Amino acid sequence: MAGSILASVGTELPRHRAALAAAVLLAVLCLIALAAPALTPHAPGTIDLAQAGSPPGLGAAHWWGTDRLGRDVFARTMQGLRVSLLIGFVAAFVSVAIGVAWGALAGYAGGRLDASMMRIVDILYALPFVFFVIILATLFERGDVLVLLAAIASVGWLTTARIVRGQTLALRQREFIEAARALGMPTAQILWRHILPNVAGPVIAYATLTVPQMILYESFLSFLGLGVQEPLASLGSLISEGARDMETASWLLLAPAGCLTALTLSLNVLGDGLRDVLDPRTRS
Amino acid sequence: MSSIPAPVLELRDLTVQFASREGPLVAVAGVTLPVRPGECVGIVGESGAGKSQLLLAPFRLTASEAQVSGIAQLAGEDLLALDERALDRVRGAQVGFVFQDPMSSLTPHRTIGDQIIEVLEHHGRARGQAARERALALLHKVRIDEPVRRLGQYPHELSGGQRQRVLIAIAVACDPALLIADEPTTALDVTVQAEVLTLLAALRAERSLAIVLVSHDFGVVSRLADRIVVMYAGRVVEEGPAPAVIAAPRHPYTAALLDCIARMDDSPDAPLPPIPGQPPEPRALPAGCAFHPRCSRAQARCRSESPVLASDGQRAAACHFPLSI
Amino acid sequence: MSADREPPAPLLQVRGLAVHYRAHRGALHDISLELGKGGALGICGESGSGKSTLLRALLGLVPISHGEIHWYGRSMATFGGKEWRALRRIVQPVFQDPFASLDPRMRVGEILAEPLRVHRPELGSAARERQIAALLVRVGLTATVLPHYPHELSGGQCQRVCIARAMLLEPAVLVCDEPVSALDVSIQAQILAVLQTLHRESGTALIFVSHNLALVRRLCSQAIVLRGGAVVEAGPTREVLDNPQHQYTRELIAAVPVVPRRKRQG
Repeated sequence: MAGSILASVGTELPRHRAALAAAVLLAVLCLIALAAPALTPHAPGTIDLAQAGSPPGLGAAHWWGTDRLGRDVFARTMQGLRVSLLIGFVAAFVSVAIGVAWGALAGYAGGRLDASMMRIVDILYALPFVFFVIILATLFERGDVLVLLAAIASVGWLTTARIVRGQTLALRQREFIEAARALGMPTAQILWRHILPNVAGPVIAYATLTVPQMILYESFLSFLGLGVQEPLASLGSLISEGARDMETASWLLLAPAGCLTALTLSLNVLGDGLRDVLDPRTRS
Repeated sequence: MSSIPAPVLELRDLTVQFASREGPLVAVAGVTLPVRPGECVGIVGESGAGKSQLLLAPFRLTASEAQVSGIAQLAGEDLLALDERALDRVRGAQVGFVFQDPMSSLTPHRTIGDQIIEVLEHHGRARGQAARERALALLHKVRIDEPVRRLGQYPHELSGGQRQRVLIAIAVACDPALLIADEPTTALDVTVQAEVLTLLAALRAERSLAIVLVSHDFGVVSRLADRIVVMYAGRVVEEGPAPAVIAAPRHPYTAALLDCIARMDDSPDAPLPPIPGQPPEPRALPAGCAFHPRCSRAQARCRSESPVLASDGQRAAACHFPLSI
Repeated sequence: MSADREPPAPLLQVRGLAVHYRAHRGALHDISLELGKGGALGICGESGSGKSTLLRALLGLVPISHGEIHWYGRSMATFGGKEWRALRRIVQPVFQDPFASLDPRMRVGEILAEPLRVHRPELGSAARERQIAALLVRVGLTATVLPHYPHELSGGQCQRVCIARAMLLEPAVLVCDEPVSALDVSIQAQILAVLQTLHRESGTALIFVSHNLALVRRLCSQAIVLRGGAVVEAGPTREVLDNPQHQYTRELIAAVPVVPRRKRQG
């Protein structure tokens, strides 16, 4: 199963120019974010009040300028990028995993189990997300990355569950599933070998689209001050800071906002391309 | 003075090509098909023979964009020269279409009545209450039970046969001179199939409607068709009056198709001779006669020389060694 | 006369079977039929007759509301895990839509390996491949189809793959639900020939559902006519079709399009 997915992605994604460009952009962003400590002599946390508020310049000591406290914007933005990427991917992975398991089980089981499982999803959907995060933040250490992850992931799986459940319901009626049942295949095997590979396409595409969503959630929380705390930075908290000084030091907003835009754009376009490639019906 | 009436549909030397990664794919190669008013022409062939593309391409109804060359005229009007708006006025009004799967041809979220009225209003035949009455009259005409109730129902509330009747109603709503039916009974039960064919025959008689009936099934075509055209690999391989072609086909492919039909009066142990192999892919047509790999009569000449459609006025066949009639 | 010389139970016996649904899909009322070893039973019916529900009840895919289904004398109601597993090697399906019957994400080779993996896990891959190769020959396919995905094959080829998959477990019965209705007439004849060969040469019993009575007449020695979930007529095929007693049977027969046979030609 995994082999064929990788194979189809490897051979066919290159044909979608936009998705390929997006993949390259994403790779470049990740590489730079990871390599940043080696690219700049400045650490993200170093305060240098003498250099505070200096604008970006190619020949300057700080490529992307400094903020109010004289911290290097490039280093800070890259740190923010790393944090956002980490939170985005991990939260997306966890939420998709939970969502797939939940949705596939509900969709395949049908009947009362399906109804009760999806009722739980409906109830959780109705809970205000911020409320939930505030409670978690109050109970645990505010700004703890793990808590943040848990909070975001706990909300993100709901949509995946609904999508997977719908797909599973449709698949369940198909003759190849009936043939597998007539073969005496145990339910777990049918789910693993037949249902999951057939929902994998849309799920992977949707997962790629979930990452920017998780990043935006986290940015929103950090913007409100409920997310990562100083001295740690995420793109969201940086945007929040930058917004304050928009008029006088626009580079403080442009740097993180530009990175966030590039990140979410590339993820969205890549997700679209993956969906086209992985859906067997759109393969020629 | 007796004159042959001008054809309703004139396809001459029509070629339909599709663009593909390996170069142009020829789906139809140089087919000539005149359809006279009130005539029913049956086009028979296996899937991939190009029979659907032949009729859909001139009206730009193919799934992907097709390159059409040759002559395609509807009541004298050049179809290939029309722009999209002009063609839109032709489709549905001067030509009616009935396709294979009624469930996918009808919009699931609109009522039957709405869908019929939409066609009438779009082509300016009636509006409002008058359109509703015409829709009702059409449902009567296609012998749907409880027409008033059906107007307000949705496609999923009707059976397959009823949906196909609705499609036929929509197709003839604007009184076209020509009806193109592409595998109209393939998805239907056998009794429903018989009813739909009876309905088409009745409509044809009432309105002197010309019908082009496309099918892979001789049984469907034999009931209605005056003339039969057999296609293989994008070309016409046989043509002639229906009873004559069925009783004594000239082309071995036609004969093979006729022989593999299961009949009620077969003796159970007589073998049903299948045609070996499959129709060729358009990208990989055999040299010479396209049918020769599957033909029991094939000889050296068939492998190298492509036969020409030879006509004797009434009947035509493209074969080097046609069957005797 | 010894008391234990009872005749062996027939392969399949259905008595008073009823299946009720809440959804609009066909229900069954009071169906009874019998199939002997190596027999061929035709089920003639149209949409809504319950024919598909009947097949699925036989395969154990839908729950039964009333009545009994006996396989070799054992009632399905008494089946435990062992009997269910054994049932899979007795009866296998061939469905109507060949493309929908194969997992679009699996190659044909993997699809065909599955029955053996589930039921004969002790076989090594070489033994599996040998069995698959042998079956491909029997259904008229070559090993070239193995690396392909279903959508890369034609309808006829896919249906052959479905038949091969069903036959890998050497079932006593193949239940076929309109196996050729979605195919061109010329390919129908090919698939019919495959089924006929399997029936004659391997002694595989057939339950053949079709609304095309001419096919039922060719293939099956016994026939039942289903309508609205009930049996309206039953008996040897020749009698039912040549001498129909019920009005609906006559309607079905009259609806079969008649194409006159061509004359002898040179």
